[in-house]
Amino acid sequence: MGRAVLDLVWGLIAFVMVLAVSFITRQHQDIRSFLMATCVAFFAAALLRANPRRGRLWLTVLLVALGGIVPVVTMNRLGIAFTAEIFIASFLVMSVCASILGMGIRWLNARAGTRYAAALGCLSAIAILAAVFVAIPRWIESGAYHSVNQEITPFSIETLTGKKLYSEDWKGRVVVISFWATWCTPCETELPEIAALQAKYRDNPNVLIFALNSGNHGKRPPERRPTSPGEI
Amino acid sequence: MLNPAIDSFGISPDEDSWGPAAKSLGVTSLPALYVLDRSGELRIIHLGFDSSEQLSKSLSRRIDKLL
Repeated sequence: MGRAVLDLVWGLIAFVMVLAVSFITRQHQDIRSFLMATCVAFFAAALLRANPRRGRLWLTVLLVALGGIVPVVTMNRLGIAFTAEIFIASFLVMSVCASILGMGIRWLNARAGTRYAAALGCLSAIAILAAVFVAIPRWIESGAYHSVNQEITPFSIETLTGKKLYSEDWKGRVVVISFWATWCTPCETELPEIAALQAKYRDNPNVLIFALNSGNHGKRPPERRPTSPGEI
Repeated sequence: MLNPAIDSFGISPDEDSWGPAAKSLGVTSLPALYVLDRSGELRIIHLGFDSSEQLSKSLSRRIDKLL
């Protein structure tokens, strides 16, 4: 019983360390670094706790993983943090997989020898890197985009100088409208991406890019690309 | 607090000065991004933001397809 509680506490410590790393590196808007820290922490916790001589390795792994999953799910349910479904799903998968790998390597080391354990370690590292840096970003991308084919009610937006732009006048152009607000942290991290997009299409008269700020009628960031003559 | 990825914030277009644009496009959370095609139809909705996604690249691929 005492050992089971200790396993849970180890999982919790691993989770706290992940939070600390994310906080210190200020990478909380990038899921890759968070999942990387998750993998390393839970791998290490399971590796340390899974002693093949004491048996019940699966229970150990389950408890270590639960030590992190319980606070994450609780925070999600209470709406404190981790509110994105895709995020919580990838955290569950990566913490459990890393814990299983930690246990597997220690078990293999005891049963089959260091060489096999090292081989599994290398394969796991490659699999984790591929998941964190390739598969998960693609998964996020596919979850964030929604393709539609929808007619819209014509509307107008107001520029900083008070001029009105009408959506009906944009026909023949591809128009990107990004909504943001100063109080919305992810929006602020998104703005440089919008600025990059504006820079890319600066010389293309067929693309219009607006960033509308909440609280200001039609406010656009200063780096808004120059509009074509006569438009504003 | 940690709030990564496609976390978004609830908003009410009626109470905001974005008014007509947000209402017409159906904005209910932030960040939200909309792309209209050359005929003026709404074609792409992108909700939330995570820096791992490299939005400018993924979006410009989609814009180029609409051009």
